Amino acid sequence: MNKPDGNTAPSSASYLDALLAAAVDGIIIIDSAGIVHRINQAALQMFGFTEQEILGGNVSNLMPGLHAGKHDSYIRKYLETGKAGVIGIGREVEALHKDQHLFPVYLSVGEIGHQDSPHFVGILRDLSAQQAVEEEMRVVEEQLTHAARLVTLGEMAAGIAHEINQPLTAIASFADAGSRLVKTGATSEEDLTDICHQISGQAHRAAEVVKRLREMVQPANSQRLPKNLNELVKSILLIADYNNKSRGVKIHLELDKELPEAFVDPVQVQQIILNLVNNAMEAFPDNWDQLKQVLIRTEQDGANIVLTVSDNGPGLAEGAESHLFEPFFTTKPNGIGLGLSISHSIAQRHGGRLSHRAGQLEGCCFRLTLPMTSVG
Amino acid sequence: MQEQVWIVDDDQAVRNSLRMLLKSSGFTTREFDSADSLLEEQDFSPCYCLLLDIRLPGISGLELHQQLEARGVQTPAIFITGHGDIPMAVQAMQQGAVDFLTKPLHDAELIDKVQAAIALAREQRDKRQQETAVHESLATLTDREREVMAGIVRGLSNKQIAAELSISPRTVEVHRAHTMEKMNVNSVANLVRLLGEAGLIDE
Repeated sequence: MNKPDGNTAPSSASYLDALLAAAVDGIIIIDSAGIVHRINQAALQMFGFTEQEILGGNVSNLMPGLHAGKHDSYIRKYLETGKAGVIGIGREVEALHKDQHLFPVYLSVGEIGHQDSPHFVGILRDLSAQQAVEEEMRVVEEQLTHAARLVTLGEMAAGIAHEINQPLTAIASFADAGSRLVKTGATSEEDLTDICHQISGQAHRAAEVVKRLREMVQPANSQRLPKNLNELVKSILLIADYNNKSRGVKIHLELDKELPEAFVDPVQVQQIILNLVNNAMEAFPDNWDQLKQVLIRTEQDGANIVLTVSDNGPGLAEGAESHLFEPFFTTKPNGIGLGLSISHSIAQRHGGRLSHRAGQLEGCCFRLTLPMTSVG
Repeated sequence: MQEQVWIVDDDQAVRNSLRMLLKSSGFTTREFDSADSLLEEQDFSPCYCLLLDIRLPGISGLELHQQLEARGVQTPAIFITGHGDIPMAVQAMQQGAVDFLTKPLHDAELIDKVQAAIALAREQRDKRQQETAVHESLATLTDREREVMAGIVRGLSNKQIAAELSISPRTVEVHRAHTMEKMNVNSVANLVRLLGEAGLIDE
């Protein structure tokens, strides 16, 4: 490249023109009174004005009421104190379109040195598209969470139906036996007392299930409470045990009796535990010929409560580990790949963590950490 | 010997209530808390009806039924299912269960089905006994008597049989009398029926 020839080099004014025209971001130059001196094409497009409508007017026309009223005082304050709210920092602000709708922009401001009355250059990036994408993702995630909750609810309903049906079956059969014995007269007072006793015992058993169910299904907008994780594990096993029966998995519990409470939304954390326990129980292939075992452990680790769920299955498939918490990643034939990703985001919202690590048994081990009620 | 109903359910309360109910209707029961404990059993002859919970820890009710079939235990099995287990119940019926019941049970239905299962078990055992008896009788026949019997069953006259076997009709008559006596029948029709029931000829 040749050295630029001094005689034919463009003037700094034409450099500026070219920069303003080429910039994708909006660029506006104002004086210390807020009057617009230059505005580039990108900014005009962003705001929907023509150059004639803007030049010579106050820049506060491009801001919503609250900031517009204060803009002059922002500049005055800067000129007096040298303290800038925005210069050199950049921040997200709202801008006012010609048609009066507000849109988000990222604004950075620089000073152009005139000693007494400096000018300022503002560079604006339109964030509308980016925010629309974020909003869309949030909506999708909410829908997914809802779908996963329905799946979980379905599983819970099946488990609860079974747990209530068992005592009902016993009650019905005891009562039928009692009336048959009375009818044939082949019975003693002692027998009948025993039968009544059994019936009452089974009714209480069913009532206990209902009580636990009510504890589980708290109001939808439930909040975080101090809660013992051991209790949550036990309530989940009520459901998991039912599913477990057809799979022949042995569940071991190592629950820390001294476990401090964690500060959690119980329903959401139950959702995580149910996911982890179900995953562990489904970890074994059909032709698995060893004893199927799942270990659930709770313990305190510093300021955290730690729950681990391990299985002695075949472990993760090669390459699966890096995708574990991605939505729609699944290795199950009928899986939708949401369990772990939702569990992961619930843990994060609690200020906790969900991770996979080498297991205490040979297979997979998931580790959930949640903050304790009070630290220190 | 009392015909027994064997109950397999992991829920103690359900087990006890079923025992009580069946006992109150005159049945004798034995209870098992798992498939494994039932499989330890060597002698299934007292068992005329199996009442199996479809969901059992470890070996499931369905697997238990398959294993028993494989061992040659032909006792009629009734499955007990929860409401959500209908597909499993269908599978059970397909693999040869005689019936299924949904929890909670209705006593009349339970008792009818248990009775039907026991009746079926009796019938099956009678038939097997008869088959054994026929085979035992057949074993006492001489080769010649067997040849004569084959002719009788084919509807041949003594003369025709005599010609086929190149012996005298008089000898055929003697063999025929011995055969009927050994098979404990008094007519050709009864002989054919007996062999038919034992699956030895097409009737």
